Amino acid sequence: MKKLTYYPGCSSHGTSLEYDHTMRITLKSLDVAVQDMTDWNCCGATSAHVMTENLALALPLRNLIMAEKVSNDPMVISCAACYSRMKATKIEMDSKPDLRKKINTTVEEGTYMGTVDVKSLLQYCYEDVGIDEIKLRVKKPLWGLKVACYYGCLLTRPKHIANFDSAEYPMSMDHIVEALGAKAVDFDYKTECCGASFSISNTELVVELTGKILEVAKEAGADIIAVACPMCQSNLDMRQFQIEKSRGEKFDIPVVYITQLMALAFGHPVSELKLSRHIVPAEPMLGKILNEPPQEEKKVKPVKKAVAKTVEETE
Amino acid sequence: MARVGVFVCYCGSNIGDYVDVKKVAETVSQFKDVKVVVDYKYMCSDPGQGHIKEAIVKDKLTSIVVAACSPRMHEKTFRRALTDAGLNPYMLECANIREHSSWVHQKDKDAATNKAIDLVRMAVVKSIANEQLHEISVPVTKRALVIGGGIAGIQAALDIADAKIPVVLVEKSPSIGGKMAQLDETFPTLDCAQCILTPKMVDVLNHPFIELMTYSEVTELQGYVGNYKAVIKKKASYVNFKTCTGCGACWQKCPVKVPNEYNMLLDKRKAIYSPFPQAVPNKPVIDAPHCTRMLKGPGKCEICAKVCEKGAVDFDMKDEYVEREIGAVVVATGYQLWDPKPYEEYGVGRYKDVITSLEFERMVSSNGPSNGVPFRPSDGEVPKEVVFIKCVGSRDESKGISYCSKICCMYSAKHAILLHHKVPDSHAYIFFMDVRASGKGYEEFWKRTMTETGASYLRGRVSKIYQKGKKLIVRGEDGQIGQTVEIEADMVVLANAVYPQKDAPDIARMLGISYDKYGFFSEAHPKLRPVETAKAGIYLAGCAQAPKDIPETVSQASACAAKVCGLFSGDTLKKDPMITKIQKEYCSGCLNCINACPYGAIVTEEIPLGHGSKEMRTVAYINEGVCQGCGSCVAVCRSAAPVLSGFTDPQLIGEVISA
Amino acid sequence: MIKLNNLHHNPFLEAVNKKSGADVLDCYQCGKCVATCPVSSHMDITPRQIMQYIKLNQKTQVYMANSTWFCLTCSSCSARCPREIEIPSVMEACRHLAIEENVYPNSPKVKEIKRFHEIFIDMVKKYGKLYELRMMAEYNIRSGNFFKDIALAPAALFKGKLKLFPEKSKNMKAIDKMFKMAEELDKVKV
Repeated sequence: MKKLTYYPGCSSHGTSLEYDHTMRITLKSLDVAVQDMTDWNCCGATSAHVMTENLALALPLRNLIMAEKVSNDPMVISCAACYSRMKATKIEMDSKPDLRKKINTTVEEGTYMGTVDVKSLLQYCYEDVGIDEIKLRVKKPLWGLKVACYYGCLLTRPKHIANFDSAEYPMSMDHIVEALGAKAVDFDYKTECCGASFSISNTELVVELTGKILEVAKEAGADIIAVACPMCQSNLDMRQFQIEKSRGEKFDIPVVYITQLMALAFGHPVSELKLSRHIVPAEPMLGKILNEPPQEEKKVKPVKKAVAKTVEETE
Repeated sequence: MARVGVFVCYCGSNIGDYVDVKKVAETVSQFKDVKVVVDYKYMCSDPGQGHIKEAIVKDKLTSIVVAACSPRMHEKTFRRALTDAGLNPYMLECANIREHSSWVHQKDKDAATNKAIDLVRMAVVKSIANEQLHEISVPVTKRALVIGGGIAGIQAALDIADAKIPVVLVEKSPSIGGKMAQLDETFPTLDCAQCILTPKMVDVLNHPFIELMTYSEVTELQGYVGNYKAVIKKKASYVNFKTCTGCGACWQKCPVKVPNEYNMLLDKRKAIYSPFPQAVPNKPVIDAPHCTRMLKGPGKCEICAKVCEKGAVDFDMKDEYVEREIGAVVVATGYQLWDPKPYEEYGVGRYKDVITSLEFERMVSSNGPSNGVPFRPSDGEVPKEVVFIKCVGSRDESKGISYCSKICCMYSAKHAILLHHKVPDSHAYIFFMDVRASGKGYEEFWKRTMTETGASYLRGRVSKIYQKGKKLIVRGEDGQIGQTVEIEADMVVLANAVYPQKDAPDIARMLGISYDKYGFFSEAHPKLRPVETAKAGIYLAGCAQAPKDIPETVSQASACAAKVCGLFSGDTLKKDPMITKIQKEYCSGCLNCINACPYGAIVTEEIPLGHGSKEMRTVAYINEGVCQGCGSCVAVCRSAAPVLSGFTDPQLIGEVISA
Repeated sequence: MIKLNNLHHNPFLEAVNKKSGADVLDCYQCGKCVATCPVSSHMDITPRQIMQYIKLNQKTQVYMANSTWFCLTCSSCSARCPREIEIPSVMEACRHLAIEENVYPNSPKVKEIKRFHEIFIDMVKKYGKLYELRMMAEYNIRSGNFFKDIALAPAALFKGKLKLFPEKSKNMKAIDKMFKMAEELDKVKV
C-alpha cells in the first residue's frame, strides 16, 4: 500500500476543489493512502519570492517541517506553483546548511531534517504509481477524446529544481492520457506560460498569453485541455470568455484536471467529477467519448512524385 | 676525478634582477670538484657558448652545469656546444634558476639567491654522476599508412607518393572522397567540389606509389615509429573488382531499395551500389545486411549476378585480413555532423521540414536527390522562405559543446547564395551570433552574400519552432533592433556542429594516441606541433584533429606528408638515449610495468631460470624504439629492476642529499 | 549617452552575482532569452539588455525598468540559455536589490503588480492561507478599479470557487512569529 503526505495548497478548498476531490478518489482507486497534514500554511506562491528573500523560504520551510512530522513518505503537492516553491526551498535547505539554520529560526514547530521527498502530483502518478498501474484501473476508456496536455511552466522547469520529464516537450501527462484510452494531440504550446499570477494585476497580459495557448490547442484539434495546476486551470477556464471577446473568436474548449479524466476512466460516477464547477461547460466532453476504439487514421504517404513534378517544371 | 664547469647566466635582467648572480658564482666556486665558474649576460648566445667550449678544452672539464633558463629552452643548444668541444652531450646538466627561482621569487632577492645556489649544488652533484650516453639508431620502414580517404587523406597520400614513398590508403566506405564529395559548391570561390576533387581521386587510383584499399578498415597497429605493423580488414564487397567494369547493370536491376546515406537519407539507393557517379573506384559493393541473397541464402534473388556480363558477382567472398609493414601513419578519419535532436524546441525529428545543413547541401547538389532544386521533405514543394540557424550545438554548453565549428558561418552564407541561384524568388533569413569570416577571400564572400542575395542577417538566437498548417513558425530575436521576430518559414536549415566520428575513441585506442573530451585527436602542441601526436610516427590531418575548412585541411595534410618524408629521409632514426632498460636479474616477472607503460613499450621475453639452466622464466623487456623515458615503470617496480638513463637512483638520490 | 570607466570595479555585478548565485559574465548576448520570454516585448529593457547593463555597472537603468517586475519567473529562458545561466534568479536579484534601495519604476502597471503582491502577502500574514475573496476585494479597492472582474464574481461565487469565509492556519501564533522574524531578516517591511 503506497502512502503519501498531501499538501493541499490555498486553492484546493476554493477555486480548485474539483482537483482536490478527484485527486482523492483517483488515488484511492490506485491504492494510494493520502495522509493529510495537521496544519499547513500558504507556500507564498509568486508574491513572497518576488518581494522577499527570507519570508519566501520560511513559509515553505514550515510546510516541509510539518510534512516530516507526518511521516517519511513523499510529500505530494497538487498545485505546480506550490510544488515549485517547496522543492526549491528543499534544495536550498539541503545544500546550504548556514541558510537552513538561519531560516529554521523562524519556524518554532520543529527542525528541518530533509527526510521527505517532494513531488508534484503528476510526477508521483507517473514515477511512483506508473502507467501500468493506471492502465489496470481503466474501466471506461476515454476513446475518441482528443486531449491537449498543458503542463505550464513549473511542472518541468526550472530543470535543476523539477528534474522531471523534458522541459521542452514533456510526455508524462500525454502518456497518462493515452493510458486512459484518449488521444493526446501534438500540442506545441504545452509548456508556454499562461501569464500565471498576473491574472489580477496584469490581466491584459494573461489574456494575450493564455489566448495564444487556446489558439494553438484549437489548431491541434483538441476537444479539451488537460492540466495539473490550479493556476493554469484558472487562467484557461475563468478567462476563456474574456479571451474570446477580445479576439472575436470562439474556443469552447473545456479545461479539466488530469485527475478528473482519471476518475472518469476509472469508472467513478460523473457526479464525482464536479464538472459543474467549470466556467466553460465541461459536460459536452462526455458526449465526445466513443463506445469503441476509433479507426486508425490512414497515413498519408510522403510525396516523392511532387519532387519530380517540380524538377520537370524547372527543367 | 671529476672536473665540473659551472656557467651562470644573467639572462639579461630576467635572472640578474632577482638573483645575485655574482654571489651564486662565488659560492659555487667553493664547491668540491668545481674547477671553472663563469658568469655571463646571455649564455645561449654565440659568445656565451664560446665560453663553455673554451673552458671544456682548456680546463679538461668532465661535466658541465649551465645555470640559466629551463632546459626546455636551450638544453639542445648547450648539448651541441658540448659535442662541438668534444665532450659527450649527456654530461650536461641544466639548473633552472629562471623559471624555478628568479621568475617565481621576485619579492625576496636573498631567498631567490639561496635557492639558486641550492639548485646549482644539486646540478653539480648530478652532473658528476651522469653517464656518457649515445643516441640510439632504429631502422625505418619506408612505407606510410594513411587512414581515411577524404580530402585530407587524399592530399597526404598524393604528397607522400609524389616523393616516391609507397603509401597504403585505407578508406572504410566504398569510395574515397569523404565529406567533400557530398558538397555542391565550396566557399569562397563557389568551385564545384566534385570538379576539383575528382581529378585528385583519379590520381590516387592511378598513382604507382599508392595502394588504395577501399571498403577496408585498419583493425590493429603494433610497433613503434619506423617499425609499425598494420592489420587491415578488407571487407567482403561480393564483387570481384578485377573483373568488374563498373557498367552499372547490376545496380540498375537490383530490386531492393535502401535509404541512401550519400544523400543523407533523402532518397534511396540499391542493395548493390556505388555511392555516387564519380566514385573511385567505380565498382559497386553489396550491402549485405540489406541484400536478399545474403539474408535469405543461395537461390534467392541473385539478379545482379544474372545480369553481370563479366560474372563479377561473388556471393562467397569473405572478409580478408592483410598485413602491411609501415613506418609512419597519417590519421585522416574526418568528422560527423552532430545530431541536433537535443534541440527539442526546434522540433528536430518531429517536423520533417527542419533539416540539417548537409541535407540542404545534398538538395542543392546537381547529383543529389532532386537534381539540385531544394524541396520540402514533407510535401516535395520548393521552399520560398527559408530560415538558416547557425550555432546549432556549437558554442552551446547546455548541449555539451563549447567550441565553435569554424565552417558554418561560411557555408551558411554559401547556402544563401545557392538558394538564391536555384530559387530566384526565395529569401534567406539567417539567425546568427557572430559571422566568422577570417580566411582569405572570406569577408568578401560574406559581403557578396549580403549584396547579391539580400539575405536577412538577424543577430539573435531562435527560441522555438512550431508547426502551423503547412508553415513552420520560427521565433527569434533581432538584437540589433531589439525586437522579437517571427517568421512563417517553408523550411528551416540547422547548421549543426562538426563533431568527431562515433568511433574516434576506438580508433585512438587502437593507435595508442590521445583524444580530448569530445573525441578530437590530440596534437602534440596546439601551436608549435599541430600535425604530430604525442606518439612518434603518427600524424593528424583534417577534421579528425579539430574543425577546419578545406584550405586548412589540405595544408595540414601536406604538412603531414612533409613530416613523413622527413622521418623517412635517412636509413635509420635517431632516438634520445634517456630511456629505460630492465635489469633482468632483478625482474621478478610480475609485469606490473606493462600496465603502467602508457606507450605499450614493454613486452615479455623468456630467459633461462638460472645460469645455464634449461628452464625458462618470463621477464619484462623494454622496446628501445618505443620507450619515451617517462619513468612510470621505474615508479611501479617493486624490485627496482628498470633503470632510466639520465635519471638513475644514484643520480637522483645524490641530488636530494646534496640539497 | 552613458559614460563608462573603471569597470574593473563593478559593485552591481558583484552584488547580483552574489545574490543570484549565477555568473552574469557567462552571458554572450545571444538573445535566445529575449526570443523565448513571453513578455519581452512588454519590457522596457530585455533580459539580454539587462545582462549587458549589469556588466556595465548601470544599476539605475535596471532598477527603473519594468522588466524585473514583469518577469513571470516561468524559467522558459533559463531552460534554453546555452550558457545555462539562471536568468530568473538574476532578475530576482536585481528586483530585490532595488527593493532594498527603495527604487521603483514610475510605471503605473508596476505599481499595480507591486500592490497585488503586497496584498497577497498581507493575507497570508493575517490568515496563514490565502483568503482569495478578500484579496481580490482589497486589490480592487486599493487600485481604484472597483468593478474589475466583477463579471466573474457571480459564477465564481455560485460555483463555490470563491469561498465567502476565510480558512485560517491552526497555529496563527507560529505564523505571526515567522513573519516577525522574517521581517527582521529581510530589509523589507511587508
